[in-house]
Amino acid sequence: MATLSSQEALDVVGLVGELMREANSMPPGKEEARVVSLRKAKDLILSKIPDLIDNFWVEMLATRHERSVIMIAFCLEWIQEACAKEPVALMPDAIPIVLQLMEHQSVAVQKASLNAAREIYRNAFAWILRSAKESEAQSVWTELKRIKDHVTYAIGEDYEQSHVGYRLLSYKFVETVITCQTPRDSDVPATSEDWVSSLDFPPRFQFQTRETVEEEAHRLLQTLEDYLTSPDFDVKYVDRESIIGCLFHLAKRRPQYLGRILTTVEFVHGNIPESYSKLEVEGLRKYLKAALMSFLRRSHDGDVLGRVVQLLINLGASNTDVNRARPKWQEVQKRKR
Amino acid sequence: MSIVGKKSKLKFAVVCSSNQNRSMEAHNFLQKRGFSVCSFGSGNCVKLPGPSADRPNVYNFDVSYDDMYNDLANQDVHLYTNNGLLNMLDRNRRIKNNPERFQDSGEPFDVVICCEERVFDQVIEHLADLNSGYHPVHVINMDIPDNHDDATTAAFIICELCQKFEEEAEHLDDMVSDIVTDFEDRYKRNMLHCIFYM
Repeated sequence: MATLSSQEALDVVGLVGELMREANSMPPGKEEARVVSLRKAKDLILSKIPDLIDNFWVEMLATRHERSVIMIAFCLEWIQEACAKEPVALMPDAIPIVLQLMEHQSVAVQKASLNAAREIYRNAFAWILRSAKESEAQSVWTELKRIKDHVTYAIGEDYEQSHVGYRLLSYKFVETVITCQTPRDSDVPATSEDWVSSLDFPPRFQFQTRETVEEEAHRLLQTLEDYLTSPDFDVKYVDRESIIGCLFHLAKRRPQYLGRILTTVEFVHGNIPESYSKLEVEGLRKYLKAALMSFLRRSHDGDVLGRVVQLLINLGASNTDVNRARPKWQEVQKRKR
Repeated sequence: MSIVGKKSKLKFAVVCSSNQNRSMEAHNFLQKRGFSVCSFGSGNCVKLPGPSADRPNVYNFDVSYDDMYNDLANQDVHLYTNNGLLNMLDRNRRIKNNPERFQDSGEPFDVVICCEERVFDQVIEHLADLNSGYHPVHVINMDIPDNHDDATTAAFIICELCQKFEEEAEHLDDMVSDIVTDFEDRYKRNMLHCIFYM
C-alpha cells in the first residue's frame, strides 16, 4: 500500500465522510443505494487508510441493527474485511456480533454470518501464521475457537433445530478449518483455497503446536465422517450429499486423506437408509457417482484408483464411462504391476 | 402462475441437450412470467433433425439461431417448416442469439432444472468438478420427451415448480426436497435432486 501524503490523506478522509453522510441521509427503502455508498467508503478506508478503521468501526457496525438483510450483510462484509487487517484489536468485538447474527431470525442472515465466519477464520488463521507476538496470536486463536465451537454445535447437538441451508454451509466451514489446519501436499497445485496450511504453523509458539492444530483438524474430519456414517442420526440425504462433497473436495486438496474418505464413502454406499425415498436414494447414488467420476478424472494415485473404479461400477457406471473419465487408468495399473 | 411485477429472488437455469426445444420452451415461458432464467444445452454440440435419422444437422454452440434458421431454410424450406424446426428456431432467435453450453457458463444459479436423466448426469458431473464454492445449487431432473407437445406441457409444470421455489426462496434448502417429492407424486414423473456448491 503506497503511503499517502498529508493532503492525499485529508482528501480521502473528506471523501469517506461525504460518502457516510450521503448513506445516512437516504430514507428507508433505499438500502441498495445506501450500501453502494457505504461500500465505497469501506473500500477507501481499507485500501487507502486502514488507520481509519477505528474511527468508523462502531458506525459501520451499527448497520447490523437495520431490518434490511442487505444492510446486515454489509455489516458482515465490513467485519470480515476489517478483521483481516487488524484481527487482534477487532476480533474480540467482532466475533460476538457474528455469533449473534448466526442466530438471527432470517436464514439469509444466518448463512451470510456463517460465510463471513469462514472467511474470518481463514484470514485470521493465516494472520496467526505470520504473527510475531505470541500473546496476540493466542488471543486471536481464542476467538477462532469460539467460532469453531459455535458452528460444530450447530451440526451436532443442534441438528434438529438448525435450518438445512445453515447446516450445509456449516459443513463447508468445517472443511475450511480442516484445510487450514492440515499440511498441504506439494503434488497438488496451490490455489487460493489452500494457501493456508499447518505446515506454516510457527514452531516458536507455546500455546499451540503444529501437532495440536493438526490433531484438532483430524478430530473435525472424524466428526464429519462419524456424522455421515452414524446409524443414530436420521441424517437427511442433502446433508449426506454435502458432507460427501466436502470430503471429496478435501481429498482433492489434501490427498493424504483419500484412503479413509473412500472407506467412509464405501460404507455410506453400502448402508443407504431404508427410510429414504426412491428420489433420495437415486439422488444420493447419482451424487456419489458424479463425485467419484470427477475424482477419477483428476487423480494420479494408482493405489486408490482401483477402489474408486470398483465403487463406480457398483454404482452402475459402465466400463466405457470409467475409461472415458480415466483413459490412462489401465496404464497406471500396468505400471503398478 | 407468474411473478411479474415482483423481483425474482432466485436464479434459474433450464438445461436440455441442445438448448433448442425443451429448455427454450421453458426459458420463453418463465421469462414471460418474470422469472430470472437462463437456458443451456449440455451436449458436445447442437443436434437438430435432418432429412433422415442418420443425417442430423450438427452445429457448434456458438452458431446463432439465426444462422441455423437460414441454413435449414436454404436446405429445404418445406421439410423444416412442416416438422416445426423453422418455427422453433424463429422463436429461439427472438429470445437470445445462440445456444449456450452449461459447462461453459460459470454463473452461480440457485436452481438448475434438467430435462432428461442423461443431461442431469452431465450437469452434476460438471458441478462435481467445480463443487468448491459456497453458493448452494439445487439440481433437479424431470424427464421430458424431446418433442414440441411435451416441451409445452412441461414448461407449465416447470413454471409451477419455479413459482413454488420462489415462494419458499428464503427456506429453499429446507423445502426443495418436499417440493420436488410433491411434484413427483402429483405429475407422476420420475424426478431427481442433488445439491452442489458453486
